[in-house]
Amino acid sequence: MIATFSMSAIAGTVVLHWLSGRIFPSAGAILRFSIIFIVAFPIVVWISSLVFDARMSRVAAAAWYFFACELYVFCFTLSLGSVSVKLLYILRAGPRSRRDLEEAYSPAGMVDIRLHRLVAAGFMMPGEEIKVTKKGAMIARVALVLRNLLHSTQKNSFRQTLPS
Amino acid sequence: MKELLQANPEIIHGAILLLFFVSHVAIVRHFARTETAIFKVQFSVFVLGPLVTLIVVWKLGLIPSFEMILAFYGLSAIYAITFLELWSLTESSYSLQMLVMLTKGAREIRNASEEIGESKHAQRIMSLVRLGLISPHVAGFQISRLGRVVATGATAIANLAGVRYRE
Repeated sequence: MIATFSMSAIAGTVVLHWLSGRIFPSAGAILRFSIIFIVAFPIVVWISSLVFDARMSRVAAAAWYFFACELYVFCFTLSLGSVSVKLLYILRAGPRSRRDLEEAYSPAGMVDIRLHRLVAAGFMMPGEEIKVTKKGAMIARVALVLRNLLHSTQKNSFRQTLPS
Repeated sequence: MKELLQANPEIIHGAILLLFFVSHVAIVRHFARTETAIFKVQFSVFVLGPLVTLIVVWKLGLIPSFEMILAFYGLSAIYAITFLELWSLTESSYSLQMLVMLTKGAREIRNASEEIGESKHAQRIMSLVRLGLISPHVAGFQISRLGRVVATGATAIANLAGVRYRE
């Protein structure tokens, strides 16, 4: 019953996300999903309180719904931004040499796409000289704090990439 | 206190997950440094976390129910996947590395970013071969049957979410 409830809820959320993509094609997929989730999660919790009598059943239903949403976001962001998935897309058309792969998905192109996205998200200022916005600087600081908490201090790729 | 915990056993589970996080920050991160190692650690947390909580709950005089087990595993799944996402984001996100470089005062990031891109490209090809998603070919590399399934699945999810792959 709990599994059926959570699966129905995530299926409904994915359908809404798909519909929102048809209605607002220019809006970002993550923004569309975030808005849907903010509205849908309290509704799912409320409906679960009507369906289930036991408190732990309601907690379980909400937790598995939340997990399924997170997994869905992980999957679609992976298919949007992952280098590995893009290499698979390219190779689906047929075998390629290493040079072909490098040309089809060049580091310069990867940088351009990321810069474009960072500017569009308001993390960087557009213009000749690339500058980070306040919002971007805040995200970078949070990322550094998290990195220092989660990773070994002996292996820090962020530090390795910083200019001396 | 005992009554509060008996009425809200998810608080116990939250505290146990917090303990796992603190132990990661204090000890585990110095030993588990690769993606595979961190995945194994989080899978262990997902499996063991609820079991530890169930033992504590039982010691408090509650009889664990099926709903309780499902709830604890659901909460553990959220913890593990959030942890893995944040870990990989702070480990290898290209965009974040660019932002950090600029925040630290770098004037020019293009060359450094392209170097990261080149190493990332080579690393990804190696991991795809290791995972059996692509294989070496006379021409260079070819996609495997498993790789084709993964690419088709990724396309289906991207279409569902309304995101487009940019060539």
